[in-house]
Amino acid sequence: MSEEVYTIPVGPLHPALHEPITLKLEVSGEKIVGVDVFCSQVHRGIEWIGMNRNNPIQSIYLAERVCGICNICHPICMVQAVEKAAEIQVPERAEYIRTIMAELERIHSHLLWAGVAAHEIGFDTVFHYTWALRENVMDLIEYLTGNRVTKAIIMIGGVRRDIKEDGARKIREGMKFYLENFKKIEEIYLHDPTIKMRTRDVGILTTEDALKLCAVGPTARASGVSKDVRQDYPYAAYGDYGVKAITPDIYNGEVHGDVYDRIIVRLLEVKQSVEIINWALDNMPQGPLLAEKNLVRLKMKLKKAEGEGVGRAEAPRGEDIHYVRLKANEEPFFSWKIRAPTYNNVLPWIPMLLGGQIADVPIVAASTDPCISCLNRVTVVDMDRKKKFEITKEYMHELSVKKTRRLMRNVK
Amino acid sequence: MNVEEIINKIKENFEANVKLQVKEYGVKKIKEETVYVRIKKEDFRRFVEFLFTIERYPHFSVISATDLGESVELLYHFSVGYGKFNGEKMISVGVELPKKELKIETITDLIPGALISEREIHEMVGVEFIGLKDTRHFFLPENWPEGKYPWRRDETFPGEMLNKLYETWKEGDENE
Repeated sequence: MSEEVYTIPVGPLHPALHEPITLKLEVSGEKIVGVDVFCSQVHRGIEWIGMNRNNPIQSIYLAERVCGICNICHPICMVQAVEKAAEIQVPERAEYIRTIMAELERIHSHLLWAGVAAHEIGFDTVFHYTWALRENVMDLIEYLTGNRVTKAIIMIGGVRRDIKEDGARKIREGMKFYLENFKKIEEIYLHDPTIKMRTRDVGILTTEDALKLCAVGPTARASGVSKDVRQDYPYAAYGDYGVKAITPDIYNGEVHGDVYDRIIVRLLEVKQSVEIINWALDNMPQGPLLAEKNLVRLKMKLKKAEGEGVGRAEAPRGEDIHYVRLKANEEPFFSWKIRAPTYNNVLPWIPMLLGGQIADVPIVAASTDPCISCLNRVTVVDMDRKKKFEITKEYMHELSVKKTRRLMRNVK
Repeated sequence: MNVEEIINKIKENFEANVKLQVKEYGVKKIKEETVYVRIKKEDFRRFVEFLFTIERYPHFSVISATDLGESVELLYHFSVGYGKFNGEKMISVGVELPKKELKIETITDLIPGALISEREIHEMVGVEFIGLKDTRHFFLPENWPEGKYPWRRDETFPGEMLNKLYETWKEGDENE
């Protein structure tokens, strides 16, 4: 075998997520010896529009479109920042409704991720089964907000829709459904020997690296860092509940920081979300939904306001943070910065992938649950065409599936 | 360390403008505390090192930039005290850089996780990070024109590129 090192560009379409990001891998044989990441494919300039065109209320809907999956977390972050800057106090009931919506989102996002992970290692039946389970929460979200994807429920100073008796009953039924099915999901993902072989001690991120590279969310927690915005810096109703960050040692007493640990963390978080939702429904205070019902008056208030604020929320993928500055007599934000969780979770890919195999790239990259649309926000030109040879996502997927089959044969 | 102690320590060690923002959440009125610190550029590096005396690994979130006309303000968002219930405090450190001299020391040697954010501010606002080795574009394409900064509110803003997103290059285009 020659000692020569080859460079393999992966992307702009990502092998795991069909979203544009480029990985440049230096390989020696099958072994990865160097990793570099590029984004620069679909930056949409969302912050610029918020700073130059939109008024703050329009920007809520823009924030919602940062990402198709975290479309509750981004508006929550943004409105929290605006509420701090303009000193608006949110009614308690609205905070509980925000909590319930954010947790419903977490359930659907984590199940979506679990399905993608199963697909990456070649278990398409598991993938369809998991996504079938996910439909239940999607229907629930549709019933509560009127939309499956962009939910349009968050407003500056509260929420736009109430959860009435009927909605509460449906949520309880839905949560019961997930508790009943949790055992089965756990059995499939955590006790299957092949999944364990493909994920145990693969894509390791050490605690030290997670802290140094500022990893967030389940990626950091799976490396044993007890870091969760809901616990550390509680917003909405999480302070009343008292969330405890989930690290893999809760489940089996050890931390490896590998892909398997990330599965553990996410699955346990689904269960935690169900508990939070049930608790929030039982303890929901009565009262108004909005601090200011009249949108014109709200807009005028925001126009006159001067100040700054940082909004943080724990998105399914980790800490989401928005910084907003308002200037008196200027309608658009004077300054707006969005930081999605994947922004911090891209650098940890490098230590995770180093030393691994090409066939492990899809599952390792997918294990941080990257959301490229969150990370990238300007339609641009791809100049990276000076490639020696290219590996397509299909080929990569095929390699991944083959590796699973190979390991399965060894089990028997 | 509670937030008063942190503020006192900052005031002892630095000539700084410190502002505390508190917001209450939920029925229990749990407090969320954010400290905004505006310091001189010369003190910035020392301030980041000071954060390491509070927390072994201060968490770095992001750098936000605001164009103030004659200058650009960079606001570094850090947090300390994570890992316990309601223990985390945000510390946002602001440094004003005159547009004539948009330079500041890198912090990537202290916090490697700040790499993407520094590269982003470098390409979007045009701030030079002294000591930052990797200054390639991260979000903008490699053929982005030099001296154009999308997040500035002055003549360097690429206004001629607005509303022309449909003109992006496709495979097979001749002029590329």
